[in-house]
Amino acid sequence: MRKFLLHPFWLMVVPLMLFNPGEACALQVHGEPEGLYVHQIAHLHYIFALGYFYWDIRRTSFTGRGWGYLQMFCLLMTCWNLMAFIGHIAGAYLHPTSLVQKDHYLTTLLLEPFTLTKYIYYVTKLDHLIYVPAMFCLFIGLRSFYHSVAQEDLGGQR
Amino acid sequence: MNGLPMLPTIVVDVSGSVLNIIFSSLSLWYAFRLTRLRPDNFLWGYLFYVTLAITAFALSRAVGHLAKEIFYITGNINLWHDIAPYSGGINTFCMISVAAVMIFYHKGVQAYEAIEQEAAKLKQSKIRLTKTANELKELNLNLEDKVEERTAELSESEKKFRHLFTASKDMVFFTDKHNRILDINASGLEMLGYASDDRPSLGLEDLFRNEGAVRAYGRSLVMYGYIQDLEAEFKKQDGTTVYVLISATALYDEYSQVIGSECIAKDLTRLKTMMEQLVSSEKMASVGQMAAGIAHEINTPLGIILGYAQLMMDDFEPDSETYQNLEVIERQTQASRKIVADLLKYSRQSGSARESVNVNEIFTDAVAITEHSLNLSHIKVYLHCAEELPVVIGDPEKLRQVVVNLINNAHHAMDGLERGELHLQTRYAKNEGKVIAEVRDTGHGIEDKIKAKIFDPFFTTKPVGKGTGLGLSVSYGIIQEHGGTIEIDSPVHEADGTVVQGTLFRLVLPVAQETSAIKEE
Repeated sequence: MRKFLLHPFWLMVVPLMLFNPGEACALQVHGEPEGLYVHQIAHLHYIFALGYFYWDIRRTSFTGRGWGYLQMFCLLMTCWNLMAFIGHIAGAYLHPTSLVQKDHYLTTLLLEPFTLTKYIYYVTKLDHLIYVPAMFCLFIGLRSFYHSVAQEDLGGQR
Repeated sequence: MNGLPMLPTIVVDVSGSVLNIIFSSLSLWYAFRLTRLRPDNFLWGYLFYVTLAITAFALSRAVGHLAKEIFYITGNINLWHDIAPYSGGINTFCMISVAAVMIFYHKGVQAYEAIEQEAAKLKQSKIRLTKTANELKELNLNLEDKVEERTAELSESEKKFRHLFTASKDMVFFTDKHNRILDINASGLEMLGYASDDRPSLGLEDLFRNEGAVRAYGRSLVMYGYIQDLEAEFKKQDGTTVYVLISATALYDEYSQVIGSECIAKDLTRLKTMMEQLVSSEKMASVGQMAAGIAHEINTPLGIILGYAQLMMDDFEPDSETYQNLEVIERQTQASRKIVADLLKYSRQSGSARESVNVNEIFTDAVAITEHSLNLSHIKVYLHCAEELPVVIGDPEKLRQVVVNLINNAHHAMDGLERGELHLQTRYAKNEGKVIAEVRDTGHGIEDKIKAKIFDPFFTTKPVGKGTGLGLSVSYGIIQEHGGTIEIDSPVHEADGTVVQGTLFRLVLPVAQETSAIKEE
């Protein structure tokens, strides 16, 4: 190791880098689209994690209604993620002039002519129609787990 | 201006956000309760963290959406533009966190399963260990019970054999391979003349009178492993002999080498004496018959000789030589007739009376007759008469003759001694229904070799002319005639085990009622 560090190459290069840095680009600037990209990558990561979770629940063959609701949650959440992913893309492609407020925010219109991007944007804006059932499935799944365990304890006490 | 109203999307967004807050909060609540119910369960713990991440993401998102809608509705769009990057960043972060936690589910479950398997194995091991421990405990308890039971049995067995050893009336002893006696019971010690608390160091050589018998004993054990009914003579502490019948068994070690023996010796002395007495009785019975025949034949010519001698004495002057010779003939003939009369008494040919006799009176009379001559010889007489002594049926004259005979013999045995003692004692053995009369002197005693002969007719230790040898024979015959026995003990064995010099004659006579019954039969 010592022989490697004392090699003539390093003995020349290291002082050169220290005394003549030039544009070393030590800190990278994160521009505007990067946030969207990170968010989209997070969606993809979430989709992968949900799929893996779903597969693992099936693999482990845990029985009971709770596990079924949890699988349903995974499927709905995956759908939501896809919907959100697509919605974000559609939002990015939607021209800012496509949405117009007549006199108030609540009277906002998506202007004609309607394109596929506009339709997709509109439909994906209704993502809570999937997200809420997914969260409901998570809720009843955990409640089911809780009741089954509580029943076990009750049975054990008897 | 035509277009699609965005109001429905706004309504769905707001209501959905509110519902998301509600459902995610409830989910987190149940997940938390699960961990409370099963604090040690990995799966519920993991689900709690997944739910926490999901709830954090849902809350972040819902709050952000609600804030946006509120800001837009209230016209504070610029304010939202300031907050939006933070909200979006938090959303992204929460989403990545949820995904990260979910990805770990697989490994977590694997770890959980591995732990569960190990826990199950441990549980099984614990169950098996508990079962084994219980079995061992039970075995241990049973073992203790069994050991206790076996110990009790052994103790009981040991007690029985110890009792057999100590309480046996026969001699029981154990020897080592050097013929040393390791242990001997109290009866054995008593038989050898030792006190029961003595612990003499004895060997077989000290025990057997004959050395060859010791060798024969050892040889038989080596050759056959046992000895059965071996007659032997043991030496007592005082040097006298005890006759025994031996049965012995060899003791072996793990190499089948004889390491000693266990032996039982039965005292045959009394049996032997009885046998000798029986032989003597038979002998005397035949001698008696012969004597009776001879006496009967001689009695008649003696009567004739005496008659003619007395007739002839009338024909001569008393101071003539012939008269004196006839007197000698008469005297000797009288003496011969007395001998013949004694012989007839011995052979029970002479008649006898039958009446109730008090033995105490017999003793008193006999002492009165002999006391004078006894005093001259410095013999002190001790008369111990039992009170309320039952009577016997018999001839008082003959019984008196027996007692006088015995006193005379005692006197003779104490001749030459400076002083002697004569003890006369009567007692009643109630259990046996016998009257016992004892005459004991402190004289020289009777040698073992002549004990069996003293009742023989004409056997005497007195000088020639001093005794006819018929005294004890006649006494024997009289006592026999009365249904009794004469026993001799010389030297005398006292009740306390001590041995004193002298001779004891013991007359054993049945009490009156029994005697009558016998005669009636």
